Amino acid sequence: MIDDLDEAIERYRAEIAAEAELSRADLDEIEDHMRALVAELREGGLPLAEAIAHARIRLGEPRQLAREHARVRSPFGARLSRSRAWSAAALLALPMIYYGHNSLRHGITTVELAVWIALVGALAARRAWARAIVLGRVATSVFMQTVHVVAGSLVWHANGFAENFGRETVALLAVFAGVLALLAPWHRRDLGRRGLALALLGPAYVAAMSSVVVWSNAPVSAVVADPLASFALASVVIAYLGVLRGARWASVAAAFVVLAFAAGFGSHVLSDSIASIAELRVATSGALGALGAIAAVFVAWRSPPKDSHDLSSRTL
Amino acid sequence: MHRAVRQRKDSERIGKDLVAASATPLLLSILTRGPSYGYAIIQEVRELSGGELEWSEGMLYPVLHRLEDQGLIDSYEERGESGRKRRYYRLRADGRRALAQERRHWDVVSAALAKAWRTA
Repeated sequence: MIDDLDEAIERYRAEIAAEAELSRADLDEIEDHMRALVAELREGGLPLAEAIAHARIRLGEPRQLAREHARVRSPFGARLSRSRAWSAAALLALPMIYYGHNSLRHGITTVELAVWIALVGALAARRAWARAIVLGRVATSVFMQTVHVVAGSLVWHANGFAENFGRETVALLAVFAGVLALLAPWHRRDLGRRGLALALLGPAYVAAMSSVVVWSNAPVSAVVADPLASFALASVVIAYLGVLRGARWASVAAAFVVLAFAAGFGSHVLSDSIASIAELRVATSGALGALGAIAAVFVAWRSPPKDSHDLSSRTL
Repeated sequence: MHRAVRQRKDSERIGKDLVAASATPLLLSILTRGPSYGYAIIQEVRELSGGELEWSEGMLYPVLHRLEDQGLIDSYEERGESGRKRRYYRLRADGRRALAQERRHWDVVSAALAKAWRTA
């Protein structure tokens, strides 16, 4: 038991601050409450150490308290614990190094690599928005890789499973599944509305980016080769920025993403037979991207700048 | 034996949903009496409910902050007797309107229950 009030308060504040980005004023407010509680309990005849222990219990578990504060204060949801954020960042660093090396060697998708480095950096710094963006994209990749493996093994089994799915696919799936488990919102309302909107844009981003990469090898020619995918990609990026700013026009941008996918799906995929795994991937990814974007339209529209919350709290 | 006593106590305790549902009208009502701060609000809730409403005290603040985000209350800081800054909350005009609406709703629920129990 701690018998020094200042030390106990300092520790309680540190435990909360480790879990959530609370302002100094918010932490001061909790400290004020703890001091008042300890004084009350001391007046009731409890020794200091016991009064501190009781005050902690009455205030609540710091981690849960921090998470609830983060839901209100951070529009993108609760902050990840250090261990989860760093483990996810470390796992993501592996494919980044592998694909980064290949990309740089072939001179393609370097912008995407730079974006990933920034995202993983922000994730390691435990930014709630980075968690939401990475979650959306990783969840999409896990889903797509699973479809890729399952559908591919059924349809193209005759061509040899090993030819289509090497160790690389399985390793990537394992890494992304691990990251997904670390970033998933296991608690109710962990993401917040704007965090959810960011995550929902993930499939659209992956679909637009993969279309650009599949249909051509260089970003510049891709714009010419597939203007719809490029338009979708630009709209997703604008939608991301809109959600980050808490602007309702984000849902307009997300609606443009849906339109681009609908038009692209008609002209690009349905006109040709799906003859390769890559084309199946584009079709599935486009459909998933459109669905995610539709959901993002509604979520982004219902998330005003300060992020509304229901008035009641079940945690009281 | 000990377990049975504990279970009985748990079942007698007011459910979380009801506690949560009553939080907003209670907080707004308390603030109609004038500006107040977290610890004092908790004391008042305890007094008003005769100790029946048990709140996890730290969780009061996220609820207050939500009400502030909704524009129903606002806050300001003032130095307390100890010389430390203390955050006070006060009701806004929107909060008064929201409280009036809450009262109507709770009156309807309470009247309906009273009638149902009279005829039961």
